[in-house]
Amino acid sequence: MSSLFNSPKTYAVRDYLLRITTVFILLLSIPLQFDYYNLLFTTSWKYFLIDLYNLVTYLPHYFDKTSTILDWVIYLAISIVIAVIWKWKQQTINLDKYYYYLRIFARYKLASILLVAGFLKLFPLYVPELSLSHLNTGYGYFQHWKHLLLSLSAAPAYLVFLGIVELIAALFLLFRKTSFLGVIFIIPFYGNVFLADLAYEGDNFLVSIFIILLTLPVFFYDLGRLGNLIVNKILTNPTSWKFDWNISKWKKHRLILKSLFVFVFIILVGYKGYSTYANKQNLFYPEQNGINGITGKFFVKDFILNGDTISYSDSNTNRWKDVVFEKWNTLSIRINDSIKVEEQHSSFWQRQDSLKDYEYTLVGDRLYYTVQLDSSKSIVTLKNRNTKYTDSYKFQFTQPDSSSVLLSGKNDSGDSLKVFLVNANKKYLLEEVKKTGRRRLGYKL
Amino acid sequence: MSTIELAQEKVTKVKSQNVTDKNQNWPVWQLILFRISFVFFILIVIPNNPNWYVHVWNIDWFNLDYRDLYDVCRFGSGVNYFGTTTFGSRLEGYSIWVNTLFFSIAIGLLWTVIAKVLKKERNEYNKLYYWLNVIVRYRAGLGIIGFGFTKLFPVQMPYPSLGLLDTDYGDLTAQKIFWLSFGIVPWYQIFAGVLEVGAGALLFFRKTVAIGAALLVGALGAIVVVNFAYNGGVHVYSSYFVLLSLFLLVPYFVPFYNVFVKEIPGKVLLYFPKFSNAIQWIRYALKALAIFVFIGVFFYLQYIDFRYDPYKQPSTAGYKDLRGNYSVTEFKLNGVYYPANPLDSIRWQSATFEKWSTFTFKVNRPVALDLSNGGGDPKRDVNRTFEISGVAGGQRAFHYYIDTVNNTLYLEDKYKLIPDERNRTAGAGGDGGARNYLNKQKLTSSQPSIKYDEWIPDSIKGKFANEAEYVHPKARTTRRLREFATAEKSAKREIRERFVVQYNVIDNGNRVILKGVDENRDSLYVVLDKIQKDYKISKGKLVAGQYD
Repeated sequence: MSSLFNSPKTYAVRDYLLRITTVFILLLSIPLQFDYYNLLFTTSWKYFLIDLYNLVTYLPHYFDKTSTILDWVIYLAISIVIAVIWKWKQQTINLDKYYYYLRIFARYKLASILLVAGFLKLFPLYVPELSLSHLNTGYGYFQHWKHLLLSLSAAPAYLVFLGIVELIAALFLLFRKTSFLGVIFIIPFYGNVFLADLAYEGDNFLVSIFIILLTLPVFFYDLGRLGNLIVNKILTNPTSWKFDWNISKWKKHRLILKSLFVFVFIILVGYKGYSTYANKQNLFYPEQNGINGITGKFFVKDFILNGDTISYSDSNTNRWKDVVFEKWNTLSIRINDSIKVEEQHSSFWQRQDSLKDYEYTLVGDRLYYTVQLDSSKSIVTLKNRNTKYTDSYKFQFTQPDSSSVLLSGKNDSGDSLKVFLVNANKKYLLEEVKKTGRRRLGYKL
Repeated sequence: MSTIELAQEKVTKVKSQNVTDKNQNWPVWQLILFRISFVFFILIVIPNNPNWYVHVWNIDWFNLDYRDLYDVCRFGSGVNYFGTTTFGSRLEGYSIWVNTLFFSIAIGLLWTVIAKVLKKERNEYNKLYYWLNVIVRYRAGLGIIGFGFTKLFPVQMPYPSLGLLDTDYGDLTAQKIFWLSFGIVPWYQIFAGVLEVGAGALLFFRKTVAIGAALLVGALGAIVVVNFAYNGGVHVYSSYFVLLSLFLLVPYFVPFYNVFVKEIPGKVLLYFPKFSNAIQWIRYALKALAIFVFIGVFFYLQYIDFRYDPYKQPSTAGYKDLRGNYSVTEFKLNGVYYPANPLDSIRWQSATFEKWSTFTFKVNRPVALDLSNGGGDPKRDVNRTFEISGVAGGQRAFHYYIDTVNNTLYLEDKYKLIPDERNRTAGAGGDGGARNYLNKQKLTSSQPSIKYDEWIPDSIKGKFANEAEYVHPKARTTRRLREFATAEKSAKREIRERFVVQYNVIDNGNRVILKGVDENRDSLYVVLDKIQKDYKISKGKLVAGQYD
């Protein structure tokens, strides 16, 4: 195996491979599109984690909102062309040295992604808490990708574990001697993420491919040795080539750069992750509060449209089935009609409430409205958050008693509507079972 | 060039040092540690439940069921003589390991003392260590292969039934959510299965032990965490493979650290005995047999299970004219009409007929729940409870026998208060399921209003007598036939609700009218209208079972 990597016969192959890989990885890592710089120069401390995550996982995307295979194919073709020109201009290069530079770059690029992603998982911010609306949506109404995210929300402890593994691997990458071990952790980890991306129909699977690509320079450098050591079980020597920092002009910058990296990606990101978690900052749902004191699932007891009472029905597409008031300014309504599902607007995480689309994208069964309460006049306005709908409502808001709500007013087409809601006092098995445990026989809910 | 020469020089230098495959002189601590480990790992790879031996003895090798081999591979182990607690604590189920460790330390020390007294001390245990490794390799390999095949043919986590698709997310347990999230992506489940079976197979070969064991540590380590996070209940058994794999990796840790971290030459010191020709042939034959049975035959059996009788889904096809989602248009109990109302606690809210022999309906009142994983090995449809286990929201599920001549459904509740034991041969330390806590709870179960004997009249019973054959001939294994031979006896013992209705399919199958007497002997009249649900989840790929 080691002959493959060192034999003079394969020199030309290695030479080209190194040049192409180096150019390809650099090209993919250097953003050339405007939206990256727009993001970079509007980075804010409040949304530091989100912004940094978007920046470190940025990939070329000339044809879609996320990177596509076509982007990669074109970049690979360009890389080959550049490599050929490079070879033509500079016949021989010190392969060991250039390979070493490539590994340094790949390690730090990789570590930057893993540290941000790892802290987002350690302080489980990577997915939000389950919303009440999602708890009151039938299992069959979520698209696959949403199912993956929801299943992570259902047990944050698992996410924390994934974050710890990711962070340990990232720390290993910061040191040359442990970087191979780090890569041995990351390849199966992100190999698994990649397959999950495919299985759950995620649209950003090239990020995990990019991460795996970044591991390969380190992985292949030591793979032959690993094979000799654990498969052939022969006496194995460590790498013989050493880079001498003492004669490098980068020597004096090395410590500063490394410290800067640690400061940004460990200290700042770690601190921000912790404070976001401690302050319960909401990264996925709107930050504006909902109607004070009203949260939960409500049954629609009476529904009077243009003076006609519409009784309970599984087929009438006008009638509401149940209503959920979230903690934030969202109200969701379950209806009998089929829902026009909205896709995510962007692969970036969003900062503004109006762009936070997590709760209503990739899911059916309910319609999601922005609630605004003018408390002086007790007037509630609802506006559909899904851009495929334009409906809105304006209601007089009253609370006949503590467990019911009366909405009466008009929709945007002028129909009068009167809705009487009663609190369902819904208990969720997902929560209840944590209190009682699963060993109770005859438990009723 | 100079660097290469330098390295070459280094190699020759180290080679000249006396590094042999055999580690001749073990320090005292290593000898003692080995004796303890030897006792511990031997104990932890031997089945501790007599049922396992009975099972293996009774296997019909000429008409195998996938579960026969699964049970061979899956068993509990360790010293259970001291009970299932350590100083009064179950230690999350790990107490059997701790007890076994204490026992092993005692024996290991005793062994050391006796060896000293008899002056039979050794300098090394290279040979014994080799054999211990072989035993642990095969135990871990076979165990994980048994586990992995149910994913390689994706049956361990089934695609959700109509009733489950119609259940709200918050009405599921975390365990159910995780299992279902795997069930909706069969290709991903297959990948997990390939990984597990592949890692197990790598343990069969000396050269690939380290790779297989490292994969197992990673994959099963994650599964342990999943079981804790989602309360899946299989954490001890998955930790078992992590423990065995870490043991197999022991000889590799230091050499790896030397070569890649300390950057000095390293070598894995493992002794492999030289066998005579005859022994070598026996070795190859045994290995080939193990691979043939536990990879070849097992693959075929699991395929049959996936294709015709996925073990977590009922095997009987549902009546075709009935299948689908229904809304409850009319509901009368004892002649009293209950109008549609989601707050009503008596009325049925919705209903489904699955593609297999299950009818479900929802009610708005607390119902008793099955909080188990819904797995295990039952062959009778009524006991295959994945569709209700870990599910609330007033969902009730009934297994039915259908008499299409007299348009009659004989329904029996899939829920029963006292659950079956799962993995009967596994025993303590092997996730014995309900047995672990059954005797700690006081259970009072009222007898059902309609007794088993009056549920289906003897004149009709004959029609359903051959239930064992309600499945493709290839899936009529001896195990299945044996279970159905005692089905009548088991059914009589089980306490569950039962009732009978006449069905009438009208309006081109869009309307079903059920008329009869419910489980409380109240007269029941229900009109069901078929509805199409606008689900957003992707349709099941690689559909398990045969229900056409």
